[in-house]
Amino acid sequence: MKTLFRSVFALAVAAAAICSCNKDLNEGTTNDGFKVDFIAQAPATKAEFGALSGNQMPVLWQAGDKVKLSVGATAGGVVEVVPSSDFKSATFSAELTTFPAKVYAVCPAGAWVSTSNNKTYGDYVQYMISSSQEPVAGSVDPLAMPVIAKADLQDAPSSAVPVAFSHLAAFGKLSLTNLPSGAPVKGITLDFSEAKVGIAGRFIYQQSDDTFFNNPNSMAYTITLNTDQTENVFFGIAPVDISGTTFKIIVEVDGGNYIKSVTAPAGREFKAGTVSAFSINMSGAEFQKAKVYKLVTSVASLAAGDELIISSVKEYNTDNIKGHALLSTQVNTNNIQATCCEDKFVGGDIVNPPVNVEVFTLSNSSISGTWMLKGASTEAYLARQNSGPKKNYAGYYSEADMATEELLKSASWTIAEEDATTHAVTMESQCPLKFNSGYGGFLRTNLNNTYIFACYGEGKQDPICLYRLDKTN
Amino acid sequence: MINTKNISVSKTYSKPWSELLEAAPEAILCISGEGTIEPVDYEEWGPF
Repeated sequence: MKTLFRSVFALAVAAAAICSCNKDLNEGTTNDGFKVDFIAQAPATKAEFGALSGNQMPVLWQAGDKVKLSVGATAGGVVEVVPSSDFKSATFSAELTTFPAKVYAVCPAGAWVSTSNNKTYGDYVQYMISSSQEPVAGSVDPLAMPVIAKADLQDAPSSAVPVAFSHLAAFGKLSLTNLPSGAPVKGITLDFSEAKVGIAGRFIYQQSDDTFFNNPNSMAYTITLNTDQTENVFFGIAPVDISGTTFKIIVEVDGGNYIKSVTAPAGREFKAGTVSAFSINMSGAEFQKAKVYKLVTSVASLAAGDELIISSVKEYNTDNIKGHALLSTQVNTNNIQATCCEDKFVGGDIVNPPVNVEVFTLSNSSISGTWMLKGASTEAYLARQNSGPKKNYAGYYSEADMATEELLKSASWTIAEEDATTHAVTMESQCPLKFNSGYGGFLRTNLNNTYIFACYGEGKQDPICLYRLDKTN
Repeated sequence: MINTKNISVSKTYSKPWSELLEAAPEAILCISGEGTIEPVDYEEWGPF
């Protein structure tokens, strides 16, 4: 056990702000504001799921867990929790500016996406179950275990407010049997893309009735578990009934993947807050050789038929994930989700990317000097979506849409060299809409506060580069 | 950063942070919560 000193700067954000009122706090003021230091004790090891007792497992807090607060349709700040000595409870504090206040707390804060209001959902909180997870021994990736608590405060409370966090995700505990090779496993993917069953992605928590469901415009059909384990691998997954659904298990090993299609028996439903343990018999799995994608260093070498991956030049860097971001198969309402693939970069190449990385086939547009990129998973063309001049939307248009001139323009891209050192490329859509400051028709990635690919103004956000399938491999 | 100017802490009370802290460092400014997470259930599906 060791002692950590942590600092929290309060944020005045609309209706909600953060401060600490821990009784152990040391108070002081700075030129910028009021600084609160408090002392938290950290466990020597991570604690998440506790030991199985009967048919239940306790869920424990970790030192360093952060909570994202919202009040109604307004996003607040992030505050770090202080776990109790047995990690079964934790304290956190918030400063509110108005009452009554309906406060929502989402943990981990990294799973929170947005808080807002619209005609469909009313006030809502949007969160994510990642399609790329890092399981830990005996538990899931902390980012794949979103929980939420609500406090309906009519007036300023005079004492601590007890809040109970409930689960937004279901969980699996997977074991593989009869793997054809003894080679070390590098990752396991659950692929529901053929059945189009949303098992990850973005989810809506609807405040009016406390229900939650997959955002229909932001689903992911695959979950990749970055693990070298084959037994008792935990993962977070959307609450979904998979009875009778055929899906693939893809096991990555050196040199390629073992792929097995299986059909879930009847009565198999992932339920929020429940761990479902199961095993997959990999006997008879098909082996598929690893594909290698090489950095495109000359845009003049691009040719129709090239199979391309779109990557960030800059490295993705969150609390627990670091590496390059690749454009994924998860299409969100206004953008396309990035996925992190640090260990797929080998000697400057992308080797054996997971199935949630989108692969585009390049073709010539009928608009001279421009290219079209057809996504393998969407079977549609990458486009700057024609939703309004101030929008940074990126998405897809179908083959049939290409009969409409302005949609064809939106899906037609010039590709030019941007930086000779990094081999960043500029991809500009021919979308006919007028561009405004900060927005535009340039495909870029945003790795600052959201991890997405979208369209921005020239030079805004982060540059991209292209990797091409090496067909000689 | 904290806004060091006036921040209302209730419907009727608004003062600079420094004054609020001197007047009532805990009771007025903050709410605090103690949170527990519901345990997870566990079930065995067997082999696929």
